[in-house]
Amino acid sequence: MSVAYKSIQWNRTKIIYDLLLLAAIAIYLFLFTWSAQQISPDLEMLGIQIRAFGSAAFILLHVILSIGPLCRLNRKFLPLLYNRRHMGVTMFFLGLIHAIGFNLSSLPLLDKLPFKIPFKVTGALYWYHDFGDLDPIVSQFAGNTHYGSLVRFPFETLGVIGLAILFLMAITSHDFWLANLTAPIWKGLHMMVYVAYAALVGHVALGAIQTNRHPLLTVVVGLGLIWITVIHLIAALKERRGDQPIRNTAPATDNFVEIGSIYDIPNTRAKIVSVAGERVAVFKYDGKVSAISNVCQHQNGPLGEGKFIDGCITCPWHGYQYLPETGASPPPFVESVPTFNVQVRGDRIFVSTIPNPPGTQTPAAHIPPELEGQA
Amino acid sequence: MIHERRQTHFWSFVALACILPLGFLASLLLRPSYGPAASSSTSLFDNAGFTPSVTPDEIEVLKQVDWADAVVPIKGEAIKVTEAGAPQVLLAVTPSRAIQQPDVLVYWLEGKQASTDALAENALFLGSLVGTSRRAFTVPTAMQGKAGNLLIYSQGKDSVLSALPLSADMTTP
Repeated sequence: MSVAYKSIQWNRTKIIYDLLLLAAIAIYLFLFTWSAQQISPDLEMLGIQIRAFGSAAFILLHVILSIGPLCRLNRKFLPLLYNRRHMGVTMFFLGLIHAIGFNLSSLPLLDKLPFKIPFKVTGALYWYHDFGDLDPIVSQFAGNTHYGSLVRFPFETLGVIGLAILFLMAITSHDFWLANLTAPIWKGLHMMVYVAYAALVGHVALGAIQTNRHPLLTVVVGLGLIWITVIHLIAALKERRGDQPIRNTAPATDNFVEIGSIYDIPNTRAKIVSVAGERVAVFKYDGKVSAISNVCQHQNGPLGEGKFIDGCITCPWHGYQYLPETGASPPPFVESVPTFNVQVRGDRIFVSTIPNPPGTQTPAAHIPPELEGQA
Repeated sequence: MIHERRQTHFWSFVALACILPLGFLASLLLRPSYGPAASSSTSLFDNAGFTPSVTPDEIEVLKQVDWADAVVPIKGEAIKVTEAGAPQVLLAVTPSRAIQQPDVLVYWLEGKQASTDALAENALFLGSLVGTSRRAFTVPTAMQGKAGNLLIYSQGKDSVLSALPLSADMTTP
């Protein structure tokens, strides 16, 4: 985490994740172009390749947008969240190739080879805008200026907007930016993916679907839109329930609110409650109870959905750890989260509504020995 | 995610859930049908040298030729159309099957033979071909009564796909 700065910390899981991702993309691109050739050998392959990369990027965007809400609904999807940013960067590159093309032989070092590597994709910008006397980029924006019309709206401009946002996200995807911008700002920036999604749905709906009237394309795009919308709304409603403040049978006294029973919380796990407007993770472990902020300092992951492992509360997203009684990461790491004073009265757990600053030593509350065996 | 971000997330997706389906449906329902222009634009087409729009029973086919083995298989017809009492001979070209080459244009080049290596600079441009639509081209003065070759050119591939011999009686006014 913060011992000695390493720009990219590869591990076996990340490598497997990336290899699977690249293999899936390669298979998709191959099947797309191969099946087009089977349908008709006369089809213009340059245009097919543009659509192959564009559709691959669009489909991958749907996969990426599905991961977040699916993880909220079922923890089994968490492994997909682990390296989601690599998917996002890959998706950006697929969209970039769709837009401006790619020539393997022109890459540095490869251009010095005595032979040409036969892999080249012509991008949509040059395929559709390079046959006139205007610079392709000028033609791109000047060719269609019907901004006041819906169906004649310059759909390519929508694609440019989507690609620009994805570029911004790709270049800030590294933890360097996360640390320097801080998690809330970085997260706010990356929530622009929804603006990009809207722009790209518009790009497809006002572009390809206007001229390609095959029902399959319309149905597939429509189903993708419905899927993303529905799972987000379901996950959002579930999360909103979690944000409901604790309903106490007795009013809060001396700044402590009752959050439930010691029997509500499995050992080495937590209960997430909303206290004073933010979520608090109340962990039970080794006959004790501690409460820390539910928000991981790395990417604001839900600490309360993690486990107590090796003496530390472990975030389920990327494995960041915090000591329960201080909210600080074990040395030499320096991350820390706010802690909350906790009391156990009988079998009831009370949590302070006032957070302690991150890293504050906050003794855990002990479960009465006579209840410990039953908890 | 902190509470504030969750709230932003929630409301922004409620907005998207309302706007996106409406926009998607609108884009489907408002799709234009690509048909002939309205009658008010007829004069624009006339001024631009487009052939008049006529009904099939007003067409008299004078001669036909079929280039079934060409890269872009087409049928050629010399047709006579009468509009406002004035007869006009046009060259009609109809693809025999849907064109699967990009940006196909039709040129004419005088002479017995024409090379397909490159598009000759003095080739006369007639018009474009697409799909299986019949296209009727006005026969330019320089082409009338002369034998030559129809050049089927793909602008997308920048190559002459076929050079099809066209006899003089196909271009006689």
